[in-house]
Amino acid sequence: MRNIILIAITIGIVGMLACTKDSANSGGASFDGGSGQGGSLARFTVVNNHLYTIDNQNLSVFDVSAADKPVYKNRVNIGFEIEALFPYKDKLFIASRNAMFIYNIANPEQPVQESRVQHFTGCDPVVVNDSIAFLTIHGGNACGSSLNQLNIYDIRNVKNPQLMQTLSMTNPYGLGLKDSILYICDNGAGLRLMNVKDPVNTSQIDILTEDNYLDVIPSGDLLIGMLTDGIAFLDISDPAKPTKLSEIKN
Amino acid sequence: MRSYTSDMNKYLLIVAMGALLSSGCNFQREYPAEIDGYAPIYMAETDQFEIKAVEPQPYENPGKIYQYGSYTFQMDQGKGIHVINSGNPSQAIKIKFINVPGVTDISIKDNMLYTNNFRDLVSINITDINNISVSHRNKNVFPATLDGAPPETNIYFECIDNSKGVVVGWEKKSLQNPKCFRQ
Repeated sequence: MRNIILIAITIGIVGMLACTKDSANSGGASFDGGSGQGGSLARFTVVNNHLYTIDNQNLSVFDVSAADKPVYKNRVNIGFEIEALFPYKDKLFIASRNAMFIYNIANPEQPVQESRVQHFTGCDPVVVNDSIAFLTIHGGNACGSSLNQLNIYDIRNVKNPQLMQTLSMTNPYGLGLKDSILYICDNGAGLRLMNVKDPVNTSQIDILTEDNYLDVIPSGDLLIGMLTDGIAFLDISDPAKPTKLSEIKN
Repeated sequence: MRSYTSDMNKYLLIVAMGALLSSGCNFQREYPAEIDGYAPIYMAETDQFEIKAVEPQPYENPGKIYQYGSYTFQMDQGKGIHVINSGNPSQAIKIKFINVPGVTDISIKDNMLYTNNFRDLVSINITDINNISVSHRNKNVFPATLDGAPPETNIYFECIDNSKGVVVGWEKKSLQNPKCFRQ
C-alpha cells in the first residue's frame, strides 16, 4: 500500500466533490515547476506533457510540452455524465454516473479503454493505489440514487476489476489516501478515517465531526480539506491522528 | 446497402439521445403557475472573458481545491479562483483572487495554470502571482455549458434563454409558469 495515489472520481451533472490522492507527481516543490495535485473531484489533470480534461461526455487531450501553448490533440467519447478523472501511472481512472472506466495512456494522445465497471447510479469519486480502487457512491440531489457507500475493488487485473467489499456510508463525496489510512469526506457525518491496510477488512478508526468535508488532498504531511464553507489544513504526519493547523471560512 | 438492423440501431440511438437531450423539458408534464424551483443566473457576453487578479475575496460558493508548491487554489464555482499561501499551513491566508468567469476546474504545470473560461481553455502564467497574465487561449474546446441543468433532480426550472448571455449558475426561487423540468 505504498506509493499510493488516489483516484477520485465524482459524478453528477453538477460536479460534485471528491477527495483526493497522494503524491505521485505532486512534486510538492515550491513554486518552481512540475505539476501540482488535484482533489478527487478533478476534471483536469496533467500527466507528464499532456493535459487531460473531461466534460460531461468526452476526454480531451492537449499537448502541453510547450507549457504556455497547449495544443489540442484528441477527443475520446467516454459516455454520459462523466464526473471526475484520476491519473495513476500510465492509467486514467474516470468516473461517470454509473460506471468507472480505466483508460491506458501509455500512448498519451491515444487513450485506450482497458475496462468499464458498471455500478449503481450515484455520484462517485475514486482513489487508487497499485492494487485497489476505492470508489464512493453518493445519492441524493442530482445523483439519482439513494445509495451511499464505499466500494472497494481489486484492480490487479485492470481489464477485470473485482468488487471486494461494500461499506455503508451517510453521503460520501471525495476521498484521499495516505499510507494505510483512507480519508472519506462523508457529507453530513464527518471526515472518516478508515484503516485499509487489509482492504477486505476495512474498518473505521475515527471520525472528525467538527467540519463538513467534501474533498481532501493528502500532500506529504499536509491534508488539505475542501469544506462546505471554506478550507482547512491538517497535519497528518501521523496519518491516523490528523490535527487542524488552520482554516479559512470567509 | 445498409441492413435493417443497423438502421434500426441508429434510429434507437437517435431516439435515446433525443430523450436524454430533452430530459430537461417534458412536454407531457403539467406545469404549475407558481412553484419553487431554479432560475438561471446569466452573465453578459461582454464580461465573459475578463480574467484578472484582484484582492482576496470572501467565499461565495467554495469549490474544488488544488495544491501547488506552497500555494493552494480553491475554485469559487463559476466565478474565479482563490489563491491561498499555505507555505506556513498554520497560518494559511488568502492572497489573491483570480476572476475567471465560468471556472470549474484547474490544473498546473510549470507555473502555467490551465483553467476553463466557459468554452475556452485558458493558460495563465502564475510565475509572479502578483502579476499574472493570460498566455494563451484555446477557443471553443469545451461544451457550451457545464451547467446545463439545475443542481437537483425532480425540480422545475426556468428554461435557459441563450439571448440573455451564458448561464453561470442557478438560484433557487419562486417561479412563475416554469416550462422546464429536470427529471
